[in-house]
Amino acid sequence: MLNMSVHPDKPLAAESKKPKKQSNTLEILKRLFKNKLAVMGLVIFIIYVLVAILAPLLTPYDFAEFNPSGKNQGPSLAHLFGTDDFGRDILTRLFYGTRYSLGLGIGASFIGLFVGVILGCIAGYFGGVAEELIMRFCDLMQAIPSTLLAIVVSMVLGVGYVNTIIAIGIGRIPLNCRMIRAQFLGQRKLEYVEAAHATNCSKLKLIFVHILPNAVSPLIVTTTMGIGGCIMIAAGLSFINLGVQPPTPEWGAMITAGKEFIRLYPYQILLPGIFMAVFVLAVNLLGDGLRDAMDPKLKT
Amino acid sequence: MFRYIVKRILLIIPVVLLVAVAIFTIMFFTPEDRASVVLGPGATEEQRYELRESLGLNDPYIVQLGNFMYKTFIQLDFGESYSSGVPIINELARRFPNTLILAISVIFTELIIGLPLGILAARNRGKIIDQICMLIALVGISAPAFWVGLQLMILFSQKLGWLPVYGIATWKGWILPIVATSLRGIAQMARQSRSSMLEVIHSDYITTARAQGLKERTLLARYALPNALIPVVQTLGNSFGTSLGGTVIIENVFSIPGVGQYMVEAIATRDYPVIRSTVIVLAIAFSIVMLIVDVAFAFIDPRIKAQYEARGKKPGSLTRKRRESNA
Repeated sequence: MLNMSVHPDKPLAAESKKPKKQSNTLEILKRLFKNKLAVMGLVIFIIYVLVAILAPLLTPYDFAEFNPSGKNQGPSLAHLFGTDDFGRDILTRLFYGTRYSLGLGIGASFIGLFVGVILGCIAGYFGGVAEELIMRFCDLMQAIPSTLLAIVVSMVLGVGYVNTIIAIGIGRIPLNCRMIRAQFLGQRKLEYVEAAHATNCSKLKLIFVHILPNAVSPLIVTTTMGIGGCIMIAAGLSFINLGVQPPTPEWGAMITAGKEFIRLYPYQILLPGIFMAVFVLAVNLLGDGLRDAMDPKLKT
Repeated sequence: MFRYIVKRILLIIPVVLLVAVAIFTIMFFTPEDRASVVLGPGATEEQRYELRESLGLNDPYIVQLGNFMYKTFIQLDFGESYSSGVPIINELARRFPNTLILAISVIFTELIIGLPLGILAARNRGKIIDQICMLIALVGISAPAFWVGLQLMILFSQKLGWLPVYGIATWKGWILPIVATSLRGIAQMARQSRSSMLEVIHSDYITTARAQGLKERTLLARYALPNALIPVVQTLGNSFGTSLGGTVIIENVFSIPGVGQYMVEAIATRDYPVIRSTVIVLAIAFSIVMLIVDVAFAFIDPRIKAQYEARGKKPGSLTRKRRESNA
């Protein structure tokens, strides 16, 4: 051991190792940016985020103001995507809807991530009764199809924006919990955990500062893709009159409102759907790219 | 093998019971007073109290749960609908076959279209066919089924007039709902079968078989496919869950008298016993399909079979006899 530490090569090796570890994230990003489809996904994602933030600047209309004289207009220069049954500009509502739908997808995805990670950490680190209970809870949740679970929970919580986020987020808990636990089981026996134990590191610090960063990478992909999935479940809930309610311009609620006029004004549901599908597609492309970039072995 | 199947069947019982308990419990905490749902806003407090008493809603949670479990699983009585008074079990018996037809056809469509797409993409990896297949798959994952359903309805029913707009009076009525629901699953199936096929194709034993001069066709069908199917079967099980959830919404798009439509009608009228029963029935159906998938898994994946046969490998044991008679 002593010999090793005074070996002339050793400090060099340690030095060359350090930047290599740092460049890991960089390496992933490099691989990500080589993937054209993933970059496209990222660009679309950023555009949507910008639209959500800048919505009031992008359009002269108000998303909630009724305009009885100009209802159900077809696409024109004044209203690029036409107007809906209340005379509201559809494009404006889509822009503002980006705020709601993105917020919904990201919010639900992160509720699932947050609770799932905490439960997964407890199960994976402590094991024993806690693990057994948490894992059986996950089994139970996964025995109910996620759309059904979202329907039941949003029934109980009542309709509305925040309740919908919670109802959809709950369904994502077991997935994240399982993944984190599996990662913890792998990490638990590694040397650095033992070293942390030996230096009397507190459990909380060990779990969240040392192990979690090593365990979280597979969740990045599922959470990214989950944003799209959550938005689609939310749209489905809106469709059966649960979930987000009009006049909130959530995309699903807009499709639902448009279905009344499907015969006369089919573009009223066509456009929100395309708007949504493009975003979900972008998120999926990005997620795919991230997965390939993080684990090149998996790339097939 | 036999032991494995028995074990899986026994394991499903607590799952089903716990799912029922969970759904009952979640719904128990609905803040709304059920008596005022049934009686409407005009009822007096006394009337509401009496109704709650007669429905057993004043009992403590545990008593209500016990009653519910006893009625549902021992007497097979799901109670009566608040709004129509019809026994729920009758409605379910009438509607469940429709939902099942839809969900099963969806699964088969996914398999029939998704699997070949995936294999095609894997065989032509990196070529234009591969990219087209995967692009179709990605688009399929990105659009919500009910929206696709509405678009198909506009195109094929209203513009072209080829298919009925709603209802299942003729077999033609099934086409659009099945296509709309299965799109997502086809995409998932294609992606899954492509990646697992690629993994298998690049494994050593396939290279060996190819080196020995086996025909490409035999190689794929007899040697690569069975192994590649293992993860695909799992996807199929999950996708049945998704399509059961999806039928709830699709049935409402196309007015198919299934369990999902019943559920959504009940949600609109706050008909709690109906909502509870429909969710439980769909969740049980999902559990049973997962059971079938697990058993099918054991037949496809020799590792599970070997595990169980190694344990029962005593002379004259049941598994051994079965194996011999199978051979």
